[in-house]
Amino acid sequence: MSRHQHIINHLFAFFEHCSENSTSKLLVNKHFKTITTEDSSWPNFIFDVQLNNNSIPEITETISNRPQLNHIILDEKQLEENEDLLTQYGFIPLAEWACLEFDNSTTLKQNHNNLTIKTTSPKDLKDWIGVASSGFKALSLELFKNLLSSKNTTLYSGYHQNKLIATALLFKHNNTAGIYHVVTHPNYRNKGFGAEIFSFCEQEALKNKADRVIAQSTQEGLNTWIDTGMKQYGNFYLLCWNKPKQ
Amino acid sequence: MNRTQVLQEITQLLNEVLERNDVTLDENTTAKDVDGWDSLNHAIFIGEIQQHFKIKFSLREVIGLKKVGNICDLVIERLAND
Repeated sequence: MSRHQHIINHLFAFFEHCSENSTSKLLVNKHFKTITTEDSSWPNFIFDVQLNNNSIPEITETISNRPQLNHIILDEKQLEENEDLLTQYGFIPLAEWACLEFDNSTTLKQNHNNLTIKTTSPKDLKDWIGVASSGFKALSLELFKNLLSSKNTTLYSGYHQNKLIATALLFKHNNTAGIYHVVTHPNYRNKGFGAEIFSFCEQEALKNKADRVIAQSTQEGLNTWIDTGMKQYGNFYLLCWNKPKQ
Repeated sequence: MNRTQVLQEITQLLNEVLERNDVTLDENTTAKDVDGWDSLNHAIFIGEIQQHFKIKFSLREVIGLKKVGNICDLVIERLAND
């Protein structure tokens, strides 16, 4: 399996793990798999899509029946090879994400020591959710409450002058640690806090004997993570489909 | 069609997609700046733009549409080439 595919699979494993204790179910179709959940704060992504003339009507039908299930994840090759088909059916790409893996040949950078980073406690979870939601959509407190007691997941809070201003989450699956939900409070961005909590997660993952440390990033954040020792292995794409007007 | 006209027409299209009449756009507006401009409405909006101007965007071009100014650039370029 390519590094790139391994990184995408880890993302799916993370979603699967998050959904275990919520009102969700895993749907495996011969053409794709997806986790559907009634929690509208949680993204419903379709993974492992086998794109062809037979599968696309099934995918669009599935999306039609579940209004919140409207994103599919494709890799670069799938996007390039199926451009005509995707355009014909009205899929619109929304975002390009980079697949990242820590380069073991690099030396970990030292923390800048501007943040005090702690494992998130149940009493701090509400503040953690508040900051993490500023980078994505509003996240569910209930869903993340379950993650606090998970042995595979650790939530980290970064404090600056005693205020929680940065979040991160480390998820270990099959000896690969993934860094997720790295978000800095909007008032404290562009000051290196995100890189600091990200580097901390890299160190924690290596300390806990992860063989590989991976992450995904938008194009905007890419250089920051590369500076912490990550290396890019291709991209993946988030596409949206909407039922055409009759 | 000049840039101001393109901006006016895409502003009108976004208002229709969001079922509003109070959205104003400028070159630097992004989806995050407008309530209701979520991923689903973005998909509808991009589809409406292509239909309205009778133009087609490639998938790669759509990925590059980060702000309203990028949409204006692409519409103007496509209208000029078609």
